[in-house]
Amino acid sequence: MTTVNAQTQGGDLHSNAEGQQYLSFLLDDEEYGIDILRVQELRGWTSVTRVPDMPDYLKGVLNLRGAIIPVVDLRQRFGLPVIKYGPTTVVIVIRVLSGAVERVMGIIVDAVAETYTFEIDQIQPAPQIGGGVKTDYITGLMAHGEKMIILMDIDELMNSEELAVEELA
Amino acid sequence: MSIELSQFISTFLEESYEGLDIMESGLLNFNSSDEEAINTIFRAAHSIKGGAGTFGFNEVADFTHDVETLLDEMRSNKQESTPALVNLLLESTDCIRALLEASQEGPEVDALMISQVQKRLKEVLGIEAETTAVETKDTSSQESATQHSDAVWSVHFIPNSNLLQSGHEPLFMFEALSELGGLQIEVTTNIFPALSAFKPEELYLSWELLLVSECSEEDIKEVFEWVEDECELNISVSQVPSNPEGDIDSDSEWLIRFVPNADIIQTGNDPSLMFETLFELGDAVVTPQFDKLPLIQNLSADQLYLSWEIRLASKCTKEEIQEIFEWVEGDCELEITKLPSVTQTTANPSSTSSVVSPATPSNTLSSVPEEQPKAVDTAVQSKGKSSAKNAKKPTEASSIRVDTEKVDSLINRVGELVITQAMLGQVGADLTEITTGPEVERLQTGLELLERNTRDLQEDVMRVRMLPISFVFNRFPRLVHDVSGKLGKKVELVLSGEQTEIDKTVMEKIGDPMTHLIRNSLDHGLETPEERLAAGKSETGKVELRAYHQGGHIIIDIIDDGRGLNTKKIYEKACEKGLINKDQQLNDQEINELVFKAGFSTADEVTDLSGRGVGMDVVRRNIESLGGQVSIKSEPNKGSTFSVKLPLTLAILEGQLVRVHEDTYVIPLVSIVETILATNSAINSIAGESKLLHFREDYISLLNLKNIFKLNTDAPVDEKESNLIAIVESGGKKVGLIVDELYGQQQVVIKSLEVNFKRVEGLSGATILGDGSVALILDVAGLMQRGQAFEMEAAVKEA
Repeated sequence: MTTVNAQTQGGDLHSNAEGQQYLSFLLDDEEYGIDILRVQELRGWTSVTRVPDMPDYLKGVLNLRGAIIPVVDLRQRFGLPVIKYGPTTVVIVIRVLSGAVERVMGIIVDAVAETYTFEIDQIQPAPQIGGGVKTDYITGLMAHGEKMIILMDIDELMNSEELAVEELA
Repeated sequence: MSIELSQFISTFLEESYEGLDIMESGLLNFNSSDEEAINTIFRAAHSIKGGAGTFGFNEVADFTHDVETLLDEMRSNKQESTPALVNLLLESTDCIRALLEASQEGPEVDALMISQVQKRLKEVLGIEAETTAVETKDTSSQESATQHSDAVWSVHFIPNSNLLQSGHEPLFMFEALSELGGLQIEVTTNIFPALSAFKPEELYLSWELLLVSECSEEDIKEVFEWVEDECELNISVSQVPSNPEGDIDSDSEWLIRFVPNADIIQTGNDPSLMFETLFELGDAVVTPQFDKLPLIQNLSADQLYLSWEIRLASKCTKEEIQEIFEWVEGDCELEITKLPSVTQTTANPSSTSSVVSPATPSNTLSSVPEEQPKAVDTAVQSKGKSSAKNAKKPTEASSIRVDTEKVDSLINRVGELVITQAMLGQVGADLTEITTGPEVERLQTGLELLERNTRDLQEDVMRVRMLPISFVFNRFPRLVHDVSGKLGKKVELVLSGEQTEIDKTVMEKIGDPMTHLIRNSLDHGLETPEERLAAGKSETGKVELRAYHQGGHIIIDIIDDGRGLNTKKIYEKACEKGLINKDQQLNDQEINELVFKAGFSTADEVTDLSGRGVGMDVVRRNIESLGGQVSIKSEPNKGSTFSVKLPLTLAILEGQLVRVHEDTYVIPLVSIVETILATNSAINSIAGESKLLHFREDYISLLNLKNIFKLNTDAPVDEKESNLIAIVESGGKKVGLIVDELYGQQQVVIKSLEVNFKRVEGLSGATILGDGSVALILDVAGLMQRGQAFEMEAAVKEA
């Protein structure tokens, strides 16, 4: 089990105006980017405890040094074909702002790719995609040489559907 | 001095709430003959008023002023203290509390209520308040204006026990006093509590000061200005007699040295009895001397090693004193000397000599609990600075205030440690299976030690969060007072086991269910005085709250000696409300359990207090959500007992580990009734599925976790349905959970699923097992609901 600790302690959770850093990862040959300041750590795939009556993409919960965190398979979340987890499969532990609280969650991706620094004005807005595809969590697109990187808002992504914060009863 | 006052406001509010609590408890135990009690209440009111004025809470100050005036009149016997008056004062404390709360963004005050209470206060006071605040307790001899040359001032200074905590130092005041003139200081230690009740940060000393000075009363008051609110101060001027020698009419001071022989106790004499007789003669200060005390190994239980030095201020003659010691004359050394008059012993011998009069009435002496033998009283007599030294001792802090978050994080860490330790233990056990050798043995020993230490550490850390249950109990005297007043019943509330410790979180949540249970006992359980007399019981009903530990749980019993549950009525009501069928035969215990059903109420009419049918089922649900249980015992005409059983802590749970399919779950041990391996014939299938279990004359429904958790299995379906059933109970209902395998029982640390995820119905949380993996903890009540929902769904599908 490899654990890489991203030096994010004390980092500002909100993006700065210029030169924002992104961590990119791969999902079925697509490259996605998320705000690097939200990444707490990277760890290899270990089996999780499944939680009853959850959608398939919610793989279960994991013990992260005493904290119980949910783990989401992003492939399944996006409706991509399921593959077997391999040696490059990575769980990215991210900090998600859910309203006033900060929750720690894991996302399973095929592999971690690179880190980039993008100027805000380089980012192109996400095009409207028809056909009922939910694009709320796509904040923009970034061309990097030949590649296109899809930038995501993890707060939007991780607070939707099953992971939505319940109203306090 | 430009100190930002606002930073002290929170302190003021905190103190005021404390003050209100003091007033409230004082009023509840009010007994008009107890002078000290009313003084305590008065002081609390007085400091609230003072603080409110300082910080600009004028409404509070105005209101409290009236309360204070009334208290002062009661204190000086101008008003007779009637129960009605006490009630008015209690209501007033509520008003003050409401005003204070409103001042810190609390709910809007009920201005009408306040003005009404205030009006009634004024009515009782007679005329519109003309009296101003009474600053210090007036003494009968207030010759304040006198500017005697070198008068002897007798200052009786009784600080509140928390004087030191507020940063005052009596020593400095005494130093300031000694600048005014010759000063003699005597310490009085008669308010010392029993050793078990002794709090090191509190001050139990009071002082009698004799000051020979030409100063005015104001000068003396000024010295005590800062502690005015926190002490009782009596200043009086003593007579200045011209005749210092042997004036039999006035008090003189005797020094008695009493050195009994070691075997005096064996002869049946008790020094403490003699001292008591001495106290009758006048004020006496008894100082034990320990110089004869042998080494501990030479100590013999029936020998007396103490001797005493007694200072007696009395008009008596030497003969009278000798008479007291008449019986032991042969068994002791007795020296009785008349002391030179007081002022000559002070630092200022040139002052006019005078004889000390008993400066204050000896009422403080009588407040010493009788069971405390005076001989054991470690009365200390000292002068000047050394007295202040003695006062300092209790200030050494023995407790610290810590943020609960810090404690919780510590508990979490220790929880991790326990898991790590379990993991290592597993590795060690695995290792011994494949290899042996001295190193492995040493490792094993080390691991065992580690286990023991971590367990101890965990226990200790858990105890940090524990608080005595008195924090909950304390609110009940008021509740009982109010409720019994409304109901016109006479009730005596008995509390026991208040020191029983319980986790803070559990305690915060147990208050409301307890309140409900007590109300219920008062309303339904106890009879009216007339009914009680008719039933041959004493007029006053008794409600007892008893807390104690039992096998890792805390039990709180609420016992009343009332009429008991009316099983017939309950049965009828339950039938009427359709909770049971008419033909259902139930024994008394089962009928009693019906009161916990939702929608149940036997009260013929809905009262302000209870009877709305939302009651006992909520109590039961609340208690069960804490992992506890509530049960009931009742005997007609003898009373009923509600027993609340709670876990000591919410952080740890005794759990049964089970396997369902390929997952491990934890069932709280407290909800398991039994686990059985059912025979095929006992399981009744309905529509091809195992639905009912025949269990001891009962049919209980079975829940298949695989189904209700929708665990879609990729494993072949040919695995035979398990016959292993864990019978669990919640809310008085039993169901059987079909499990595939039973693992061990163990203590698990409860982790919340909600922190990073969400609440899942049927689960109360998760825990981390020894191998680092996560196991989910089942919530039986939630499972039952889930099961019902599942059945409904299935039924809809079939239709």
